[in-house]
Amino acid sequence: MKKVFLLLFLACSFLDAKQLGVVLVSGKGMNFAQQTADEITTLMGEQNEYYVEKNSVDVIVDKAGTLKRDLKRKGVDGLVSFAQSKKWDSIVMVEYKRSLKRLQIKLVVADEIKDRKSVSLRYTDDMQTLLSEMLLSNVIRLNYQLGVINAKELY
Amino acid sequence: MLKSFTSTIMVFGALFFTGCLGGASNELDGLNENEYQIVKERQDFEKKTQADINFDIESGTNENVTLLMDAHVTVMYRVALQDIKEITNIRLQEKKHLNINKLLIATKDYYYDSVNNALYVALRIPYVYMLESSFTYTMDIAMVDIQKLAQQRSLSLVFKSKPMSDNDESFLSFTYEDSFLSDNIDPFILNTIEAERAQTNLGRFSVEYRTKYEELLGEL
Repeated sequence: MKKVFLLLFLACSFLDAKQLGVVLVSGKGMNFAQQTADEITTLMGEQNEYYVEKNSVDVIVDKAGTLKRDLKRKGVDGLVSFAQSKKWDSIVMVEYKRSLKRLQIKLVVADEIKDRKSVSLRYTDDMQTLLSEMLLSNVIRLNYQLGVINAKELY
Repeated sequence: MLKSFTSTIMVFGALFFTGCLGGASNELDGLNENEYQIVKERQDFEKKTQADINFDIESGTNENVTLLMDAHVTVMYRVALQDIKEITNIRLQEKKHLNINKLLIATKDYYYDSVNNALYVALRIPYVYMLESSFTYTMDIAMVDIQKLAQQRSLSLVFKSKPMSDNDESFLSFTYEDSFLSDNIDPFILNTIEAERAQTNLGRFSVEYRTKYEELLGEL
């Protein structure tokens, strides 16, 4: 009987799993490498060990900001449509503002409400080794704050 | 008579509530809009966390030893920081038995009150982490200071299930000497560990630790 409950519990947790989309916008002062994208994906897999829902992250490197320009032209609706076409539950755009030396991380929830939230973080070259951790921490944080993921803990 | 009694109660009630509200708003008095928002959010974080134990860690301290009176509790650390503008991320690790390597989530696990230069971190300690007499978390905090330079601070958080100096204190729910370390395990502990099972990722624990866990629950 306990095993049945455990299986049901696991099945429910997979039903809750969310696909989080991240677009790393390359541009002046910061060219995001595919390595950063891969590190974020691996880290997300590791973090799932601590949460009931097994979420995943899909990271795209937007070379020269072409995707960003296209999406910016279409506005929030364009962002949501793009996320939905990818079957993402939310989309995060990460961009480096060279003049401010800050990473702008903006999230839009890919549903009809199109809720959004952003965070801005100081970033300099000496923080390079922490980049993937920093980005993923804040992607999870924004998704948690907007209720995309519930981050219910596993001990 | 009844009327005067009711009035007295109402006066006391009003005084009580005024006192409570006055006390709660003190910290927020005189703050500008931005500061108010930060302190209010931190207060909300504290309220939501409902910590059972609170600790202050001063800016020069890198180790804290917590003698746990009980498990299945939430411990809140108030870490004093100097000249820090923002926290970029926090990693929590335990490599011996529990194999924890986790990124903490801002506003869920921690909140940085930049007005009071204090980082509030809430850690949940379930019974299942206490099958050995102690374990140590390493908490690595990555942050940016007011000079806009990257800074790191590493804290060692030791949790010990040793009895307190006065083991007969009334608030102790059980005596550790008679719990995990002997055959006379308090059934309450076993039942709580059993209740924690649905939320426990056993696959992450070391083989020895998992064996100990199975042996313990075999006694139920």
